[in-house]
Amino acid sequence: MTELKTWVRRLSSPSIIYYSLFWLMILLFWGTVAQKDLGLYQAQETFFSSWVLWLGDVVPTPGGRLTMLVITLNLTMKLFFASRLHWKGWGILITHFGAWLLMLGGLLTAYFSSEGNLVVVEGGRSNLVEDYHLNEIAFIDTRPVLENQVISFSGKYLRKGAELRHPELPFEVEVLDVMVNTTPVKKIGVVSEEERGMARRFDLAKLPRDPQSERNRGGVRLRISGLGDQDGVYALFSGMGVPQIFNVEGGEIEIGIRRRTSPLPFEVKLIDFERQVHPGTRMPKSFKSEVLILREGTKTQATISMNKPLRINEYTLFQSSFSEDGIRETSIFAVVENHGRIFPYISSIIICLGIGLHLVLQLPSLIRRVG
Amino acid sequence: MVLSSVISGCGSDDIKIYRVPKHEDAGSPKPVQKENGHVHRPFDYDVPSEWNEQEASGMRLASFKAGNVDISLVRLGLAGGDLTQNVNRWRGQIELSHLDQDGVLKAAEKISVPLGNYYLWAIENPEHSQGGMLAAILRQKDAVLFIKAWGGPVETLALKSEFKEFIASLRVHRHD
Repeated sequence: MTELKTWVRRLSSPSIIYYSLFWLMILLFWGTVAQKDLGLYQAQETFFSSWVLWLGDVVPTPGGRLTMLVITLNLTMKLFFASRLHWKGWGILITHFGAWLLMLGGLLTAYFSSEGNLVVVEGGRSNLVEDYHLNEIAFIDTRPVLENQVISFSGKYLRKGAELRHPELPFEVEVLDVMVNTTPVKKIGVVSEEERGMARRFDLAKLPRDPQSERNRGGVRLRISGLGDQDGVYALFSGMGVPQIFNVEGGEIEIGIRRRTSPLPFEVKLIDFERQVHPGTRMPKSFKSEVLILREGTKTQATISMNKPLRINEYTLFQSSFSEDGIRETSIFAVVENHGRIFPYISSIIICLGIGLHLVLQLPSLIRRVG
Repeated sequence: MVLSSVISGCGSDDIKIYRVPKHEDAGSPKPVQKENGHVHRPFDYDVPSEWNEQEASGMRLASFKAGNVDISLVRLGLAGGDLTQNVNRWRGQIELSHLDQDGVLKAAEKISVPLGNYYLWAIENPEHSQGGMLAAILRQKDAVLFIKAWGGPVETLALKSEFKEFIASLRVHRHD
């Protein structure tokens, strides 16, 4: 029991949060400076979303996520096991609870939030959101009569040696090589007997990672087995104009590397897109989309404009961009899914109340001391 | 415990399965790259009598020769459909300076055909041996068609009417 108390005292020690916050400040400064070379997304991944930050690939230091975990554990121990329940300490207790809730919201956001683009052509509809940064390997099975079945493997499978297997897939796939950024170049030299499809005529040249991650075009070389004479090595890259299709029993399955795509629980139909420009220029002044939200047999009309996003449960749809070529207009929405969206608001209110209460409770002794 | 279960459970959507309506792809059949590398075209068309059809390979859905002029039909995703970038890339290929967006649009003819509307550019550099180009961009729902004729300046631009007739004849291939 005494040992347990000792551990609680150690883990709830204020010195842990002091040192952790100091390290967080260093990470914040370092990550901000590194953005210039790494780009926003990569800097965020390296410094703030990582468990370990390697110095020169040799020395491990705590990454942003590990530091936040230490702070959360310290706060949890302090709040639930080492707080004095005296009325004078209520303000501090409430403030700690607000901060703990803020960390909890951060945890939810870190693990259960996503951002991406929803692209809808005028008159068309879609519920597919493409992630800005992450790639996936998708198998589109066109055999079902009314719908296509999509089986997608996340970026965790985009590594050399990964094996892609699924009971619904009638073949096996082994990842031979992965390129973060690539471009197809005409093949020079001997074509291997194993190579099939585009790989017979083009090689995928590795390009340096672009700091703006959305500009990177992912590529992959795969070995397919279990399809008889279609077995072999294939090359794929994002945005390939000609998809790779395999004949399987009862139909075809298309395979591709693309941005991580997730279906929304509702469809967005673009009724009309409107753009206003500053007089005498082509510079956009404002743009807005009239949309129809189609969900479980219901239709709801809404307008999404530059400063008026549409919120549907945990999803927020922002008017992000558009494209037009004189032939048709396309509206591009930024879709943010954040289950922890409400936490910062509630936490901030609680922290303010806690600090306010603490000041009020400390006021008599403060007045006494001044007197 | 809660924390560890949240962290360990977060990889559960590494493999996703879902269904999308087939209407997403309706009206825009995709070219099919078979295992032997040949492309089966999703469009039918009438080939002008002077043109010789070649084996389509790589990114091409169809390929022709009219004398020394090379004619190609390519289909790419929507991301490849920026007019200004494409026109300036072509102009660069025959050593012409770049145009701004207004210049690109002014230089284009906008034409309607059964498959949709398209822009056509007749680009010429008489000082370049391969300085003739007819280039068309036809945007579909989920893809962009590029039709290009490239060769000597005089013989390429002489193909303009046949080139337009070819694009007008493009139609979605029907599987009977």
